[in-house]
This record gives sequence, C-alpha cells and structure tokens, in this order.
Amino acid sequence: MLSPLFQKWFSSKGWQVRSHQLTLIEKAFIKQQSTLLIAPTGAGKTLAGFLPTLCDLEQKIENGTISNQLHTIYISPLKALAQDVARNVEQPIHEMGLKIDIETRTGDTPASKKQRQKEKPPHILMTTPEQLSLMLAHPDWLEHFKHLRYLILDELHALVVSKRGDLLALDMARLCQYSPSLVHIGLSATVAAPDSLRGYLMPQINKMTGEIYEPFQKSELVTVASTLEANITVLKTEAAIPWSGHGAAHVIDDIYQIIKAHKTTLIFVNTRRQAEMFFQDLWVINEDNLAIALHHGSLDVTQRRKVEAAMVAGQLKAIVCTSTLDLGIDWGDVDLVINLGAPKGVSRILQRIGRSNHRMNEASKAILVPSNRFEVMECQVAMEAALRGEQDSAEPRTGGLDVLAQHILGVAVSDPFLKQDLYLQICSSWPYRHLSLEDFEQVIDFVATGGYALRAYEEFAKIKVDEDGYHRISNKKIAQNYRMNVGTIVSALMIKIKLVKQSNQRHQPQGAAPFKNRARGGRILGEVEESFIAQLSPGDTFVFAGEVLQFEATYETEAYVIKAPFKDPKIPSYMGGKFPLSTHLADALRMMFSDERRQQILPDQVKEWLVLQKQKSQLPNLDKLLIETFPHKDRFYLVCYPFEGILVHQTLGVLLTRRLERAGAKPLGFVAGEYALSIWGLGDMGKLLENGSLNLADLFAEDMLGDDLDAWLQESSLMKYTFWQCATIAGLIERNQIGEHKTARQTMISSDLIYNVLRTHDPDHILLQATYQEAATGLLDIARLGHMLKRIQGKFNHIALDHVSPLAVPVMLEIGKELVFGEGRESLIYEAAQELIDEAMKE
Amino acid sequence: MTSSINQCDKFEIHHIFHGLELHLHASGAIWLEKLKTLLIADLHLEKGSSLAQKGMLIPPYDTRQTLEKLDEVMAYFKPEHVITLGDNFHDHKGPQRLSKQDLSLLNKLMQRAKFTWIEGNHDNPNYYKSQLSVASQTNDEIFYNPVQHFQLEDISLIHDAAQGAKAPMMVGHLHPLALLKQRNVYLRKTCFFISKDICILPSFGSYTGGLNVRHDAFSPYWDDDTKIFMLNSNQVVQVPITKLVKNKRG
Repeated sequence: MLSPLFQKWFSSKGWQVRSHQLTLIEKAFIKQQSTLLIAPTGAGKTLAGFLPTLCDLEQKIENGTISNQLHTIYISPLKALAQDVARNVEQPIHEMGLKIDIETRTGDTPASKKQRQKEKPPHILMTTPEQLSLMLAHPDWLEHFKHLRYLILDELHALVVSKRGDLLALDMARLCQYSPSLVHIGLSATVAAPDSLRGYLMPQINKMTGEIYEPFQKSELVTVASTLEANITVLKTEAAIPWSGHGAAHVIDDIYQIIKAHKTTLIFVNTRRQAEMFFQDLWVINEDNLAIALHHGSLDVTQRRKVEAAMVAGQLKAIVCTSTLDLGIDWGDVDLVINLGAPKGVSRILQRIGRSNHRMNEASKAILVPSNRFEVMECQVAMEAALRGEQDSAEPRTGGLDVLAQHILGVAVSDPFLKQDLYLQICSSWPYRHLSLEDFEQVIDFVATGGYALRAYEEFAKIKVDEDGYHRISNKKIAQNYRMNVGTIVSALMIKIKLVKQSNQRHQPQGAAPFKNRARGGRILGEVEESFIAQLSPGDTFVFAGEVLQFEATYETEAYVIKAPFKDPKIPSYMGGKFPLSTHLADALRMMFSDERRQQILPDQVKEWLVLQKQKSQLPNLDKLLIETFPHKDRFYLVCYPFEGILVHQTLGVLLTRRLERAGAKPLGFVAGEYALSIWGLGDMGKLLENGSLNLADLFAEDMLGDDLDAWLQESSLMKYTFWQCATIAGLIERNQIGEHKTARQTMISSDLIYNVLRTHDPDHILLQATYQEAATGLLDIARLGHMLKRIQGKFNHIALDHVSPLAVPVMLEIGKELVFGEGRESLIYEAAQELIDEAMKE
Repeated sequence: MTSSINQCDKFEIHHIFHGLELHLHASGAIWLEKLKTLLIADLHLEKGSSLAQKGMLIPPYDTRQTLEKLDEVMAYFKPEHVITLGDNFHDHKGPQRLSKQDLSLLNKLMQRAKFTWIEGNHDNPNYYKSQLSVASQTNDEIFYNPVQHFQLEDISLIHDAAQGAKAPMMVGHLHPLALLKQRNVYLRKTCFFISKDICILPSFGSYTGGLNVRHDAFSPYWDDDTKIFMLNSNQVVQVPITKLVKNKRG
C-alpha cells in the first residue's frame, strides 16, 4: 500500500510501518473515508494522521497533477503544538525530497504573512480553531477551501468538551459546503465513548432528504490498544497523612528521593497555586541542586518555551507542572509521572500517565500522591480503575447557543445565506444536530436585532434580508468588529507581572509614577488574574514563577514587583483549577467506603481513621446518604457526604441553607469540599430532625431545583459570571472594538446590570436560555445535582452526635480557610459597618 | 467556598444636612419628609437605545425598569414633588425614542406629583457652554422642560457640583461608588457621598455604573466630615471610610 518512496524512507529510519498507520492510509487515502484514530501517546499518532495527506500529495507530484492549492488543514488546540507538529512533519517531507509547503498560522503569525497566505496558501496549513473561524470570515479564503482535501483534528478528545469544539464543529460543517468530499481525520487519546467522537467527524444531515440520520452517522475507527500495562502505585509513606489540605509537604522527602532515583520525572499538580508551593518546597531541600523546573499557564511564554526546550534536550531532572502539559508535545525521555493530589478522573490520570515512556516499548510508570486521607482513598480507587483501563472522559457537548450566535454573524460576514440552507448546515454538525428550528430562528433574530420581545431595534439591525431571502450584514464595520471578537475563550482580565529594579532610595513616593523608569527593561514573569492583584497592598509578598516577590505598584495592565527578601510569602490564590471529581470515581469511592474488605489495602493511618468513624458514627454507604449533626462551639452543624465534587456541593449548600432558613433552623453559612458539605447555624438541626419539625426528605426533595434554584439564580454571582461569558461569546458585549482598547472591565455597561434587566423584562430571551444551558453543566453543575437528588430520594442515614465525627474533621478544617466568595460577600458590608458602630460606642 | 446568611438588623438611615432631614433610601433616592419631596439623580433614560444606535444591541428595557423603580419609590413615599438632578436622558434625543408604553408610564408618574427636571450634561450637548440655555429637545407629549438649577431652602440643587452653585449643594453627575475592602474581600456598591456642604446622590438609572469615590474627581468634595453610605440589596449601610480603597487600575 505504501509507495516505494515511503517504504524507502521508513526503512532508512530503521522503522517498521505500523499496522494502524497502514489502516489509516487504506481508509482515509484509498477509500477517502473520514476516520477516527484512537491511540495512546507515543504510538506515532501524528505521523499516522498526516500519512493520507502525504500519500495523496506524493501521488499528485508523481502524476504531475500537483497544484499550488490548499490541500490539508491541521487543527490543534494549542499554538505550540501546531508549531511542534509542523516541525515533525517537515522532517519526513524534507527527507523524502517532496516539494510540499507547510506553514503555521496562529495568533502570533504576523499580519503580512497572514495576508500572503490568503493570496497564496501552502499545501498544508497548521492552525487553531479560532484561526479557522477567522479564515472562514474572509471571502478570499472561501475560494481556497474549495480545493481542501483533508482536515486533521488533533487532540480531539480535549476539543469536543469545550465551546471551542462547538465552534469548530460549525466551521467543519461550513467547510463541507465548499468542499463536499472533504475527508476528516480525528486523532484522540483513549476515551469513554468513541462513538460520539466518530459522530462528531461526520455530517449528520442526509443531504438528499434533509433529514437527520437516525441512528447517527459514524466515521471509520482505528484503535491502537496500549500493549503494555502501566505500572501505577499510590505512594506509601511513613509520614503522618494530613486530615485536610492540598499540599504535599508531608512527603516532600519521599518525592525528592524518588526524583533522584529516576532519569526525568514529570510532576503533575491540579492548580497553579499548588505548582508554585510544591516547587518552592522542593527547592528548599534540593541539596544536590537537581535541575527542577516549573511550568504553568500563567508563566510568560518565553519562560515556558525555555523550560520546554530544556526538557526536550534532556537537561531537566524534574518539572512541576499543571494541565498545560497534559496535551500533545513530545517530551522525550520521561521515565516517571507523579500525580500530586486528587486524581479527579480516571481518563485524566491515564492521559497524564501516558506522558511517560513515549516510546511505547516500555510500561509507563506513575505514582499517585494523596495530600490528605480522603485522597488516599480516591488515589486507591483511581489506580484500580486505571489499571482496569476504565475511562470516564466527558462526552462531547450539546452546542451552546452563544457560540451559534457568534458563528451566524461570521457566516453573514463572508457569505450571505438563506435561512433554511444554513439551518440544515448547522444541524449537520454533531453538537447542534438536535437544534430546533425555533431556537435557530431566535438566535438569528438575536444576532440581527438583539431578539428582544420589545422589538425596539429593527432600525439598527446588524443583519438584513434582501428580496431573495439572503441574509447579509448591514455594514462593513460589523465585519471588522466580528473579526476582532472571534473565539470562545473568555478570560478574566490578566495583569502582567513585571520584575523591576530595586530602588536605591530608602524613602520613595508611593504609586506607580516612580516605577516607570525602573520598569524600563524589566522582565515579564507571566500574568495573573486582576482579582488576585487587587488583593495585594504594596509590600505584600507572594510566590510566582518560583520566586518570592514583593508587590510594589500597578501601572495600566502591569504589576511591578521586586524580589523579596525571603520570608513567609502570601501564596497566590488563582481562580480555576477546580475540576470536580468524576461521577465514575465518586461511585468507586462510595463503593470502597461500604466494603470493609477492600479497605484492608489502605495504609494503617487511614484504616484507623475509618474504624474510629465506625465507632463514633457510621461509614457512608452505597444506599443511603450519611448525614451527621452535632454541636461545636456555640454552633450546630449538619454534615453530609454526597461525594459529588465541589461545584455540586456549592450549589447544594446554597439551596439547603435557603430551605433551612425557612424551616427556622437559622443557618449561618456553609463550606463545600470535594467529598462533603458542612452547614452551620444557630438552630439545633439534630434536634429539629429528631422531633420531626425538620424532615430530610423535604429538605433534599428534588423540587429544590424549582423555585429555590430559580430565586437563587437571580442573585447568584456564578450565574452572573456565566451570563457575562455567554454575552461576550454571543457578541452582545464586545471584547474589542475598532480603534479602542477596551479591557474586560471597561465594557460600557456592566453585564450584571444587563442580566438583571433581561431577567425581569424578557425572561425567555435566547441569551438567558444559553446561560441556563451553560449553568446546568458548567460552574453550577445543576444536572449532576439533579441526578444526585434523584438517587438519594428518601434514602437518608441521619446520625445525631455529641461532637464532630472523624470523617467530618476534614471539611470542618476548611471552614474559614478559603476567602469568602459569592453570596456570602454581601454580609461583609455589615461586618465593616459594625466596626464603625463599635468605634462610635467607644467614644 | 464559605457563605453566610446575613443576620443583621435592617438599617434605617437618616442624616441631617444643613438642617434638612434626609432619608437615604436603598433605591438611591433621597426622601425629604418635611417637604414631601423626592430627589433622584442620573436616570439616563434610553441609554440602551442610545448604545444600540452605535451597534451594541443591549436589552431595551432599561427605561421601563428605571421608571418602574421610580413608580415603586413614589408609591412608598407618596411625594408631592419629585426633583431629578440631571442626566435624565442618556442623550438629548432620548425623549424622542421613548416607547409609547414608557411614555405613558412617565406621564402617569408626572400626574401623581409635580416634577422638576434639572438639566445635565447628557441632556444638553451644550450644557457646559450655555449655562442658562433652557431650551432643549422636547417631546410634545410630555411636559419636559428642564431647568438649570433649583433652590430648596438654603440648598442649591444642580447636576454637576463643578458648575459652581452656591454651597450647600445636592448634586448628581459623578455616580459615586465605593470599593470596600473587608477581610481581603472587595465589595463594589454605589453609595451616597455626604460631606459638610455637599451631598452627592448615586445614579438611579438601570444601566448606570459608578465612579469610585477615591477617584480624583471626588477629591474637591472630601472633608473631615465625609460620610459614605453604601447601597446593599435593599438596605443603606454607613461604612468606615478607612476601609474604602481606590481602584487598582484606571
């Protein structure tokens, strides 16, 4: 099947062409079928993905039918990956002496090069989903797309679970309009439901009948099984295992010895904050001066590239990193992966483990390191599930209406459309295959005039319909604005951290002005959320980029810092990084709690903890939700153990407190953990439950998701945040406007005000629907809460205790540790006011 | 995440300003019981449609929401006289864009009390040039005839204090907002700003934001006596000025 040239090249490398590579050539090149390739890292997945393209181009060169047309587009979720893959594919092309042009196009590509590409595209273009949307918004590119033969989607499992995947699917449907016989090749890590990914690669509308395929169309599938079992263990230690917290200080010596004993170790942590803390801790004991580096998404790009280059060159002994290294890039000779903290999900941990021994001929080696007692159990069940090869990766999303709005404007910008044609095209994409005509029309209406029930803006319409029914934009400025606001990644405003020179003067005026000179030539270390910088006062110290820094001043979008004399730093508390525990692992954990025999493999400290819990209270079990009540220091507590992750527990906490307040239990607050939820108040909830004035079935009834949820959503800051994101993606709030630099904060009207007005006066508005849809699966995870409430209906195990139980200790220790967030913030005003009153009373 | 339900008592705020008892209301209005007069500032009616003209199609219900809020406040206090402190409309063509429904609501409100509309810089593009020009774009169907200035006993009512009326003054224009730092948490709320000789009202309109009271624009008005009253969901709360901070940027 391979041409002589390819055969020669493979043997010149001393390689044997792999069977999945041949199968892919057969399906995607010879038979021209769209195909999904599922393979563990290191299986030569990327090269396999390009083989059909290279075979086709080589044949055309041989036949003399090669033309200077765009042939293949490769899409990667990461800019860096696109560049990395370009280099890797250039090599065989160069070695085989093929005259094929490969170029990259990312946000970093200069405008002149982009312009040139638009006039004369390369054969193979490596790019990102956002760039594809931008190209589709230019009529010139549409001509080039007619020649497109292959679309290669890398790391598909990561793309399809985000709004970027929604936008990409819509763009794919458009590409098929210009190139109907386009072949899609998806490259993915092992996932729980490969069929959805296969569906994602295929048009789901039958062009002849205009009907949706039932059952859905699936692409071809090529699977490469991992041939070797991974070697996964949970770290055993003599050290005392903490009750709560997310650090690993207690096992730092163990880990240091392990790093020394291996060639190169990748240490994954869950948040940037943990990365910074652990990196600091390691360097404190790094007597041997091992080359240990730090890598996370907030660090400056050049810094990250340096670390990556050192890694590839084999100069590093260890890297402490966050999920930024989850994807793609080949790191060479990693012989150990350490995962610090909760694994959260099996697929997640398997993908991380796959970063070691990329060569596939050796078993991957990984150690899971729990940071507290609950995590010991989570690590144990995650390890067992991983060894069984189970998967719990998320399913592709149902397409967001906000993304659809952005896309529709994009279509109108470059290619005027008929409503019915566009509807069918959109329904042919996997995430939108069930989109109703009504929703579609509402979204068009929204894009055109805002879609308000009060039809006030007809005269300002962005999209107009001509006599033939074609929808087109009403003026050119709209196209420009669209191009400046493409994309689905809406992030908090980021502030650059700039290291400036120390001042010689002992006394200096306050503020940014005296720093402007010193800032010249200062080094950018990376960036953090504005909300974090806003918490700092000049003189405050924090850890960033592996150094202890002292905050001095802010100027525009930069924060000036100097190196701090080493003292106890105030640790960054970044947003994000809060993945919930997967339902799969949650089930496995509940199972372990209810199975005493299986608990025997746990370390003694944890076993003793569980035995103590059994003596004082009970262990959670599979059938019933364990609820404990007890008094503690003038307060009464209710602790329950749903194991549904922090997002669900937060929402549950808000709704339960509302209900408890109505029931007269006088709740004061709650704290949500990954495994448990604790609510406290002035009323004795244990007594109220026992004398029947409080009823658990009522308290946890499913109708909680009705009026109570609705009432809370009106005020919820998480909901307002979700609305802000949807409104930005949908184009109601513009991130960038022509000729103006607008920061996230300075949009003309706060989205909170818009949210309030819209909820009151147009509650069925399409943008609110988009927001609820997002909230159901996003930050509020209402869907999962709904499943849980259904599961536990009427099944409770209430234990009234005299004091806190061993199992409740971890969540009790969280109280007061975290910053007050969300709804509780409001009450701080009264605290401040009370201080004023107290002061007045003193006088 | 920690959260707690507020158990504090409701705050009733009365403040004596140059002999006049001000009732500071959580809506951002001030009620003068003795004069049966209601003061509000910066309605910015038709801000939504003003921005829609420029391509931002934000919801067009702001006028209705603002008028409904005014309706509620008037139903509660039953004023004989309502005085607005300027920036009644977001732009001077705003009155012509009022929907029929909003216009009729406004007319109803104006039948329930005497209205004095003070003019602001948004109402009249020549506001800063022609102090005394009273003429403005009006809509025939409503009695809308703004004035520059109104005297309430000793107190001058004007839109922008920088226009230099005789102190003491009650004004709007700046949209005061306070950023409170409590336990490392920041809370941003609109507020009343009251010094010895000046009282600045928060903006009343639905789409109006705020300017931090620590911004330079407020510096002429701070004195040893300045008090800040923040508006917090249905309550007015006096807060210690030592806890108020500047915006970190801009």
